[in-house]
Amino acid sequence: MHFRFLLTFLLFPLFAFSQNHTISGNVKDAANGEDIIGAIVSVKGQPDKGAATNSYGFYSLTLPAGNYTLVYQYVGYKSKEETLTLAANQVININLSVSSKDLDEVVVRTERADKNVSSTQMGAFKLDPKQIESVPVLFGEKDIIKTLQLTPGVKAAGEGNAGFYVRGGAADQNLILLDEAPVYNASHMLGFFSVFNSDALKDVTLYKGAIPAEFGGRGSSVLDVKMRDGNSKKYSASGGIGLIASRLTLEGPIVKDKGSFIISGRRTYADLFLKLSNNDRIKNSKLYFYDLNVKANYQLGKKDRLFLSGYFGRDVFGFSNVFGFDWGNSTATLRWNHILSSKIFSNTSLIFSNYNYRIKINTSNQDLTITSAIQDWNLKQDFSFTPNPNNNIKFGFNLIDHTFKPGSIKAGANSNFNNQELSGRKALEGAIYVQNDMRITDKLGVQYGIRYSGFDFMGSAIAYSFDADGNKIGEKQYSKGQSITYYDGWEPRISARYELNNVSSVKAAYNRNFQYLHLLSNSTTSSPTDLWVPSSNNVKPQIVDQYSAGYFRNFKDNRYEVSVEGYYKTLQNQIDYRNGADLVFNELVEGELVYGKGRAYGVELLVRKNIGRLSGWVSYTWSRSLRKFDAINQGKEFPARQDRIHDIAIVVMYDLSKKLKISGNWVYYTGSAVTFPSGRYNLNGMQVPYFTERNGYRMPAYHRLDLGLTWITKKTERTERSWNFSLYNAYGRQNAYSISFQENPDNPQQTQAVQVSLFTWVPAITYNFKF
Amino acid sequence: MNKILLTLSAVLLFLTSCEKVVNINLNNASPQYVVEGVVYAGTDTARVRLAKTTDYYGISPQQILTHATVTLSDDVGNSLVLPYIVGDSCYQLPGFTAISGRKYSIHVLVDGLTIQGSSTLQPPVPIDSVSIVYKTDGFRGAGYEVATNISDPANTPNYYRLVTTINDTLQNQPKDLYLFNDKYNDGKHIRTALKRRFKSGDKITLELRTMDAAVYDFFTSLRDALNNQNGPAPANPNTNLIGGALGYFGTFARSKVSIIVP
Repeated sequence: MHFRFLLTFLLFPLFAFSQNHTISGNVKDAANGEDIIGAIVSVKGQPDKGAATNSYGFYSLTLPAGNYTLVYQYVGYKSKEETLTLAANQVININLSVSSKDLDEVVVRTERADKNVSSTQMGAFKLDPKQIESVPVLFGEKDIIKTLQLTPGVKAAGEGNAGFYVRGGAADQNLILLDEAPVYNASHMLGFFSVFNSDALKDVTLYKGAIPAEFGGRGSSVLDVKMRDGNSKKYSASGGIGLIASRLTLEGPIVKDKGSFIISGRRTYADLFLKLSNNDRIKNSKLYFYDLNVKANYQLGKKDRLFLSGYFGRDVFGFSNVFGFDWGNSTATLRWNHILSSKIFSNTSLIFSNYNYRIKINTSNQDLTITSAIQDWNLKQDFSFTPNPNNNIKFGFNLIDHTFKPGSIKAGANSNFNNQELSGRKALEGAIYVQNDMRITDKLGVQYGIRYSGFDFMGSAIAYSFDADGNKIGEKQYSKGQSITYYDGWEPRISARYELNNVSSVKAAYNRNFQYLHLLSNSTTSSPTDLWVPSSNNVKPQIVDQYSAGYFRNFKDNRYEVSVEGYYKTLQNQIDYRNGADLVFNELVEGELVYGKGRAYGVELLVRKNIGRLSGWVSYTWSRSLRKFDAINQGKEFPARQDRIHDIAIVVMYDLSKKLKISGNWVYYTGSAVTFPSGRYNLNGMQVPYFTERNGYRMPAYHRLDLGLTWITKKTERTERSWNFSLYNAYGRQNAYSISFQENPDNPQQTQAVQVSLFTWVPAITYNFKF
Repeated sequence: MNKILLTLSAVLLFLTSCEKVVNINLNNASPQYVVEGVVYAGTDTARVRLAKTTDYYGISPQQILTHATVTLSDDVGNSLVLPYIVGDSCYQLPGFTAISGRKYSIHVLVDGLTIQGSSTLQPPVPIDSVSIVYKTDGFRGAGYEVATNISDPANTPNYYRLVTTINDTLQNQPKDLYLFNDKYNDGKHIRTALKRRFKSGDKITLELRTMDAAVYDFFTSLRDALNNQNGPAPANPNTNLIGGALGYFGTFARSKVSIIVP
């Protein structure tokens, strides 16, 4: 009942206006037919009326009958005007052309010059994969996640690492979506590369706060990554050859202007130079990863469009024939866009996601295979309804079937291992949501919504119970489909904007997020064997509440965007491990967990320049992230590992000429909170460190400068050739990757601290082409 | 050109890390009691060492406590006081006979504080054989690989530590903590290879110790504290002592084999 009232209230604007007509259609890139996401449609002379295209390039604008001139505009594209007499519903499809990039010309790099100020959304960072091409990165492998780590509120999990923390949250609190499919392990090669091949990507948005109600399932953030649809006008190929990896993308029309495909692949060849070795064992070793993104779409009629996209990536490591270890994600998304009416757009998605790893050992004495997997089937229905220019209502539901296979050992005839299998886990996760982005007055806008989510942990499974020390005290077998534990909750999301004047606004937001899946990791960086576990009779869902507020101001005709955002977050049902926890192949792994709470707060400052020869941003974050567990640190609050108080990043890109671009970035942050010993003792003849408090120390401060140079050797309408040079850690700072305490090898009575640093001066070179 | 590029990449990937001794300021924690109590199966000396922690970088030998009252008892009503023996810097009782299956306890009274711990003596498991194989493959290059073979008793959890003495030197560095159990291979043959290569003439003594679950937990968490300080949460080893002391009290059954690499 409660919910119905709410729905009526939320949908009220639906009935408020009726004697109007609707203009709807798609906005596409004139050159390749790609949908343009977030293009602005505005009404000349009526600045309070307008619309933006959705994820599929669709827009809907309802106006009273009359004469209008519509203006269509987007990032670095020439604006287009359309004059019409509105007497009935009308479909207008628009193709926008890229503006020729003369240096003197003003190139707009965000959808709308004043979006920073005028949009109700806060706590979001949108990245154009093209824009980051010149940002220097490790080994020259451009990486959206590593670029996002340079923005306020986002911290790298470690040196050169593609894992990240958002606003004091843990790495598993980020919902990483690739064409709506969750990616469970978003990194390659122990975290040094992300799974995202920039060549295949169209749009990347990170929501750090004010998370819209359509997203749910993780506590801290949503990284929404959308793949390109492929060129629907002509066939083309592009790619690059780098030190570590090469990339190739092929795309083209299936039927011109009706459908297109894209295939994009990347493979590293770290192992090819192993072949240079004289040692047979090294010669026969394997060490590589690959990514394959494929996507196709087809316009079935005026109202229907189908999309099929997939991602397949795998890391392969093998030592001679005796040891093999491979892991990777597969995702697939089948989508159906349907225009129900000029005001209602529907998208239905069937999504598959799988992550698994396999370890094979085959020696003269041992023969076994270890496997582990997590798999999702997800049905998602979203509607967007635009009754009038002042309201944009989204509603929908999704239902996810989770299957967890935490581990199995299959022993060969030659093995002394027993075949073993950890109990599988099964869960159903569901959510319904509704939200409205509403313009109340010219100055005041509110985005309000609510999401109801539920999670059913079910059989067939054995549910264990544990005492306070984590010892098993009982177990119960549940049959297939029988509910073991059900959790649910309401997740309110609201944000408001008030424009103080043309160039400045204040915004505030509150959101609550439930997280039903948890990642258990026994390393500080991401590892292929990290284990996703469901909420259960022992593990409660994590609940994160975030309050945020900010001031946004643009300067010099929107050339400079400035924002200051503050947030305060509380985290419930956080997970940590008992001392010496055994997370590997442990049937009773839930007995190794302890539960507590946390809070995080901070202030983020961003100055961004998107226009002109010089572009880039300066980001500064002051933040804290604290945890409190009865079982840890004598129950006293302690800093989380990602509690780095000061974090500065400066990113600068400068166009020297049409052909030469230089770039640089500098980062500085307080060292991570770590546990160091405060004493020692002798045991069994060994020097043992004595720890007194959790995360009571700090790693040394981290700083680094990277430089990049892009040289375009040829550029025409159709073809492009360029070289990219980069230098990672240009002044060779030896940043601490780890610090260990050990006996002094020269004097066993003494002890010492040993620091390991990675990556001082890493040059890289990449050749890129397009034709 | 390609070859140069590839070689360069190899260098970049693998040789860019570097290691150095650094100066990290550490707090000096107030000293804490440390107990190390060991009882072996059969007739042997029972020993309990009692000391205090020192500053991490301190060079002074640790402070041995000599004024405590240390009692050793079993679960059938026997109880003995262990006197402090100056020469060995510990409380000890020579000729103590420990019987498999019994639960032994220590009781330490020091400065008004009581520290207690107990451990059940497990039956010994013999080393069936030692395999010595000349190897050229694997991660460790060429040389003799030495491995112990045991038959794990079925249907009971078993916990093992392998202690090695190489050319008359006891191996007691953190990397020498060979700990394993029968979690994956209960009742099967368990082979444990030493993580190094040997040459002809090397003299190796292999001592297999069995212990109960709590003592094994102490040793595995000790190994983590020594070798895995960069894990998510380094912590003091899980002691089986009650009363607020560091360390452990363990009973061990031993079986021993000595070999000379041919």
